[in-house]
Amino acid sequence: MNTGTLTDEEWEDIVVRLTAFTRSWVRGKPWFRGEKTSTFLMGKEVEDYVFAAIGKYLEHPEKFDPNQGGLLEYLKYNLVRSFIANDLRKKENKQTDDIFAEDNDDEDEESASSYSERMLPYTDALFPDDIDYNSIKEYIEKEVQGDADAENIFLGIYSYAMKRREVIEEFTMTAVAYNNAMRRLTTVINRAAAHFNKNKQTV
Amino acid sequence: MSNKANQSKSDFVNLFLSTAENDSSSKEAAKEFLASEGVNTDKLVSEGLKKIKKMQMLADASRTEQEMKIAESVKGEATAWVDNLLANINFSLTELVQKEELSMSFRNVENLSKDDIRNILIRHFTLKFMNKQHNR
Repeated sequence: MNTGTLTDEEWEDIVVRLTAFTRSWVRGKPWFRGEKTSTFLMGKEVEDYVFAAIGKYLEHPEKFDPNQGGLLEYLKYNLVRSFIANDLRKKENKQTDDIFAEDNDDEDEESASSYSERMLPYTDALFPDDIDYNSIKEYIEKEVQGDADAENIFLGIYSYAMKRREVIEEFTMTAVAYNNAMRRLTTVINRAAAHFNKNKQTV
Repeated sequence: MSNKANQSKSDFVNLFLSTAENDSSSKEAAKEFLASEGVNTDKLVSEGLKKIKKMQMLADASRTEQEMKIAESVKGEATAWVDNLLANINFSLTELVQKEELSMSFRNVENLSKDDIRNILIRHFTLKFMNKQHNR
């Protein structure tokens, strides 16, 4: 089976990685809000959104500009964008920042930034403003103390906005060590989310 | 939100996005993450490829339909153009053949009927107008 200009193997890579990214990304939505992720998904599965994004690309492949990043980045960017757009359309939504207020042109985004960079403001809109992010930072910092690799990754990403490759190079880490430490750091971040979510509900 | 608080949030968002990026940094990392989420990756891939193939076929069919519609409308435009041309009393087929570089098609021009000439010209101008549209 050969689908379009991509081989089955290439599509397999995209399907698996895009689904993993999206599942990981939507986990952030209920953090600090006391909501359930299912509300955000509007009765659909994550996979429905993944294939809807792929379908849109297949209908209009000309909208994808390889100069701004790979196809996977393009699809990720479109997914986070559509999630935030859906969230804004919900009547009960009073918390998500209206990122589209200054960006309501659906197609003609001639921003010089890459698809990857453009995901940041949409991800920012996923989280409320009225949270003490500094306390969250201190909590994570304390939790990773003594775990050198996790500490370095946290420092590199949080304080210097480094990318994976930069952290690996800067702290002379192997890819495997990075993956393992990142997994431990993710566990701490999830714990922080639960901790501060709980605190918010008891206030 | 103060600048400092805003920066703290941006830093946190960057960290959060890095975890999602890491979970999808390679096919292996993604499979491992999906397994921890209870997702059957084999099923996801086999059903996914079928869906993609179907969506691709529908998208191709829709594009073909669009192109045919455009071709029909351009053909109408070309027909009107040719009829107008042939109705002009000053019309000279020889001049047109030279101007439009139609020498190949008109090698046996004396054997062609009026209808043949009209059809050849319609085909020629349809293609010409379509090329113009594509180059726009």
